[in-house]
Amino acid sequence: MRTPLRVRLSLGTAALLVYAFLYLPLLIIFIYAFNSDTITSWPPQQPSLQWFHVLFSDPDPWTALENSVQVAVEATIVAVFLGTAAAFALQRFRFLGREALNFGITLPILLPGIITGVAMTTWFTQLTQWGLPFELSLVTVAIGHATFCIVLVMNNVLARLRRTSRSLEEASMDLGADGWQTFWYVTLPSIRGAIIAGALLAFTLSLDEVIVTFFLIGAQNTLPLWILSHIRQGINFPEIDAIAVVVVSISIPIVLIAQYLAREPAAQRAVPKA
Amino acid sequence: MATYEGALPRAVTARRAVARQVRAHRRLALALVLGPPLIWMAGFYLGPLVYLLLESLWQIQNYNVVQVWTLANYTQIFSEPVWLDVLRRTVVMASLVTLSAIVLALPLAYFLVRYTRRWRHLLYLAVLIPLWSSYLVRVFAWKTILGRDGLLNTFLIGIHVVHQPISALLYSNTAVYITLLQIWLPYMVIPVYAAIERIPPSLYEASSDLGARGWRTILHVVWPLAFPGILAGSIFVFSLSMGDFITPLLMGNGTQFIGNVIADQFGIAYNYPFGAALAILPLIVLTVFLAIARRFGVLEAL
Amino acid sequence: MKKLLALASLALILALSALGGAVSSAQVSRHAAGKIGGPLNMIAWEGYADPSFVRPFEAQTGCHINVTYAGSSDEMFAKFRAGGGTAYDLVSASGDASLRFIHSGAVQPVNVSKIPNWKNLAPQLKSPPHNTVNGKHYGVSFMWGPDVLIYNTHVFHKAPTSWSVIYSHAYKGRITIPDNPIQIADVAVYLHYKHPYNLSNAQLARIKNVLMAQRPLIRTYWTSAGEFDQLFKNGEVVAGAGWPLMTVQLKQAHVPVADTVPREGATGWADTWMLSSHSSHVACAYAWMNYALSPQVQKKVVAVTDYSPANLKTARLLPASEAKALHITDTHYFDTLKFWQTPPNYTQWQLIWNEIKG
Repeated sequence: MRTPLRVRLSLGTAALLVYAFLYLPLLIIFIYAFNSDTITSWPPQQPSLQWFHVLFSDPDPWTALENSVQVAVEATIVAVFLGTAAAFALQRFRFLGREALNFGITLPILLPGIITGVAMTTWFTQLTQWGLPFELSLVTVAIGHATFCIVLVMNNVLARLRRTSRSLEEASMDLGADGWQTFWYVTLPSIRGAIIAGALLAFTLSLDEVIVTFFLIGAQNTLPLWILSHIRQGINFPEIDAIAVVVVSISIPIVLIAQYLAREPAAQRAVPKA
Repeated sequence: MATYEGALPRAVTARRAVARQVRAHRRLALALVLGPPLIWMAGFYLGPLVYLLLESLWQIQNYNVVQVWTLANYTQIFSEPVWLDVLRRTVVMASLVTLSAIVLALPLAYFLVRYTRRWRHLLYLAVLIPLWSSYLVRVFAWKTILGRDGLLNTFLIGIHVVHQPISALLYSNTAVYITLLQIWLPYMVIPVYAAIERIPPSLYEASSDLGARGWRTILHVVWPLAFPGILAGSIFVFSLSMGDFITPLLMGNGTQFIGNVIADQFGIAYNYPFGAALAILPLIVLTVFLAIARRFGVLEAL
Repeated sequence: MKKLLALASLALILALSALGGAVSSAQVSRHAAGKIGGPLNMIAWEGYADPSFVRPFEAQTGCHINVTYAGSSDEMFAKFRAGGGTAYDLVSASGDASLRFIHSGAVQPVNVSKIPNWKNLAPQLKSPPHNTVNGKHYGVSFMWGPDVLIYNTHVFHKAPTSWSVIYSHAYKGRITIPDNPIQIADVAVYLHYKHPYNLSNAQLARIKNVLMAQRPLIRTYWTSAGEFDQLFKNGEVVAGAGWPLMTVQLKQAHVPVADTVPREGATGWADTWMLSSHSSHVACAYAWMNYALSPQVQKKVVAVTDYSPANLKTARLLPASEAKALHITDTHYFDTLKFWQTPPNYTQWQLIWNEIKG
């Protein structure tokens, strides 16, 4: 059945309009990053690279970016370990409260970040009063990020585990490999793509996170918070456009690679389900 | 299972002994794998949430939080109408944004799944790319678009639709609505696309073979199968819109949403107990929403 | 192939981090043989940590300043106390927040004999009741000034003589005022109430009506000086309640503005540098306090903010007309300003403010 052309055209136009709506701000960001205007009215006056010069001679956004990357790496590492472990627990075992655990791990990303943020900030304050080392700092930010990143890795690994047949693992054990060798040489390669996809998603989310970070940070800055304070101070707006251009340019290849790695290897697809 | 342990290095033998113990005691294996994430979530998520609830029952004395029990925060919420007004306004705004996101996401996802083949994956990624540009910078870009001298006003005046710039486009609830919609739309597209993609193409053929034309197929085949995805996307968009305080701060005219009043209690008014009580409100709203979603088995689709 | 890609993405991430580290360390000047060294974390009003006087301080002492800006006294108090109150060393608290800091135990007394420049402060700012309790100094006064009416000179050809312009329908949607409950005192001043910080319920009710009537005229409530500047620069507003700092910044950006204190009078604020009870960088903090109070530095702060300096000796470094305009030695002018204080029924003010914003 061929859909009439007019239906396809109208759907296509609708899709195009949605894309335009999604990309309009990005277009603005790019235009103003390469323009010498400081006020945000339209149209911009003259093309210029001056804001990139300003950006590269200002140490603050780069310190903030370094902090952001540090936090994102720490959060991702924790999320990878805990998320993979949780996926195995949910997929390979039966225990009381399975549903609840799945729900509980997903909850941080379902509830608004402000609830996570205010709950964790008062909790850390209390822990500090009890003498535990949880002063607000980049470490508490990393803990906060890790908490909502666990589900990203867990869901990816869980989905892959469900599709992976156990026959390969059983074959490996039959051939004399112990549990660890089987895990390292058979199981892990088959879920590696899912772990990487989840890890890169977690990394990207952590890098741009504002709300939870806002409540958990001490006197330092991550990049989004630097951008927020820069917006509030009202100076040199195109500088933030410039750094947004830099970060997007670097994020896109990272996530494209993640998407590529997350695809199932051809050999795996041929294995029948157990 | 035959093993030739005599010929193996000591490390491997020791490891295998441990592994045998672990395998033999399935409980131990479960504890090893379940323990760390459980402890983490209990200590860093459940603990904070419980503490938040407790804090809503405490109070401020002499500019410090004291652990003296009181229901005053809750009576304040219900006796001063402004707080429930703010909650109502936030629920309305979040609902509007969510419904609009559904309206925009459905045709897009359907078009991508049904009518693109070669470029589909790239076009799908193109929906995600805006998520990787900074959220704050995108919100800020809307100021340029919607301002008095901004892109939209200049355009409208240029094509003679209006003669004066429309000031209500910025620093208004309209501006907050438009910005929230654009920012969170991809989070609706992702699950809706995934749901529609899972529909086997043969169902469309079967449907038309049985005599259903376009709209009826959409209504009776696509909609029910896409519904879990739509609901999942709605949870994300609704939750994100409910808690967002930065967009109203940058784009609004001072009108408060629940995120703003909560953030204010923590970041400005320094009344943590009252802020905690206010935070329980969206928590309740979302718990209700999530409970409804569970009935539809949507949590599996997340 | 996949391994290669995984390694490539890891390399990209590490490169990102290295880039950040490289650029930041290339730019941040390493202070050789700094006398004290270490970080100094402060919360300050905008304009109080301008590079023009921060950089020489960092070079002299080796202390590296991290500043977080806040737009209101409430915000300063909350940020300072967040997470147990250990994140910041110094805060530039105004008179309406300083007593809160003192009574909650967040700040410690300072030894003014360690701050030589304190001796030259204006007499009314040496031991004012808002930062000196029971003879103990909980900080040193820094700058003070009025809350002014800032207006676009292309729209107002003459300076407005009354605050009524910001309550007037003639400028509907082109007005901005601070998002701060303390604004209620400004309305009290406009209504000629004698005690703007000690208001009865009847007075508060009338003020609330005035603010409710004003609500539709407000473009938006500003929460930072930068936001205020943007509103004027983009032509969104033509009149607003602000600080002299904004006039300086807008003039530098070639926006035609001026400021004035209308005939009803104005509220004002006096800022004190206060030291956290939990500070682990006390040496740097004392160095900063003495530095900030020195006439040369106060002159630089004046250049950035156009606020009035607390150190009387600054008058000698400025042209006579400017010293006069800032009322450095003019105690009569000082007494006419209704300085910010924490009202006894402040929670009621906060509630009214929330009701007005909606």
